[in-house]
Amino acid sequence: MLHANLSTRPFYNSRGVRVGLIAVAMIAAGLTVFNAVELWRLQSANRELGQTVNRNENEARDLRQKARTVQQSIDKSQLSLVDAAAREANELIDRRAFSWTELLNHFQATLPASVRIMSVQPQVDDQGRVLVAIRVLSRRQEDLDSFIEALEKSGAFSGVLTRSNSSVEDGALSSVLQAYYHVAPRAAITPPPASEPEKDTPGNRSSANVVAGGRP
Amino acid sequence: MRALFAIGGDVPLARVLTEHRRVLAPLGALLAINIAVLVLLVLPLRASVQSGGARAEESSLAVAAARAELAEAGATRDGQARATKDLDRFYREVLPADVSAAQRLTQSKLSLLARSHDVVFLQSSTTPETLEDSSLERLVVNFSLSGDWEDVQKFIYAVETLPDFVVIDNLALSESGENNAPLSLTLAVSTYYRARSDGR
Repeated sequence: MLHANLSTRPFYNSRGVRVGLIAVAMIAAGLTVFNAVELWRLQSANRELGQTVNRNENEARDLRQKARTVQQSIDKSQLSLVDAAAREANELIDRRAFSWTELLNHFQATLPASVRIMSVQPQVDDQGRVLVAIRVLSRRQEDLDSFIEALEKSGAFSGVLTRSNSSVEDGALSSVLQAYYHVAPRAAITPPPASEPEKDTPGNRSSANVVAGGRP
Repeated sequence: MRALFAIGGDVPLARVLTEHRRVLAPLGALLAINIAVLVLLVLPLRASVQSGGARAEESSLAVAAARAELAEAGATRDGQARATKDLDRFYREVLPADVSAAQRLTQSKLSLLARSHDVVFLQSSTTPETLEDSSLERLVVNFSLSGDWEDVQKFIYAVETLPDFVVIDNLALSESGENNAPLSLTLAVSTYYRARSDGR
């Protein structure tokens, strides 16, 4: 292969070099613009965020201070007294709202002919459920069972349980039942049925079922 | 760099750079400065903005928590004021003022109510009770009554719907063996009133 250089300063493609330089210059200019814009944008964002943080910290401090002031203005012992009194008042109102009429209506609707109610005592358990103790006198165990079944079927009672059974003089069975009573809202109270002496109303039927007895 | 008008000849790069150093030097300096700015300023600033965003979010949460704390304290204070007012109204307007008023309510009023419903008043016994940890006292009255079942039912309904605060605690019904004999009703009722000594 022939290698020859006929010039001491040979020519080269200077246009190509110029194009390259222009490209590098454009990259440099672009980078300069990018850096400038980014610096401006990031500094603004940083400043705004700093202001937001300061403003939020001040606001949080003020709010906490106000909350402390309000909390200090509350008399804790008085608060617990009011709380206990309010709970007591609500319990009394709940007891007052308990409808015996509604309860008796349920018994009338479910009581078989051979079972008689002697006494009824409701109480509220720890979970706020109404537990009713019912003393009944039934002719046979089957009659008592059918009463318990009718109570549960009515939907107003659940967890019906025979707490005690004892035989009485004429061979009848005296029992104490307990059941959870699902209290209807006060608005649902229905007044007792109107007096119709000769008709066999639930009231009459229930009356015939009542026998001598005392408090459970 | 390949030489023009030469066969197999190259132009040294040093010559090309030297011939364009007037342009290359400032361009190189500009590039170097930009890269330095990018590495030393822009990228750290970007990281700072990101952490600033996180701090701003945390501070917003702190504000929300402080606002909730204030709202809770305010609600406790307002709730106490409202409960105190409601209790005061309950004690003054709903419950009997004292033991005498309680006795008038449970004795006279209920006896009259029984009579108006054809229920015969037989006897009663009254027991005042103090309640533990309470500003209230309780008056318990046990009534012995007799009447027809329907009248008894109506009487119970009337007691329940009285505007006065009377609670039926317990009831017991009994019947003698004779036909058409009235029912005997034992009714335990309570009412409550504020104890005198309590300044609450």
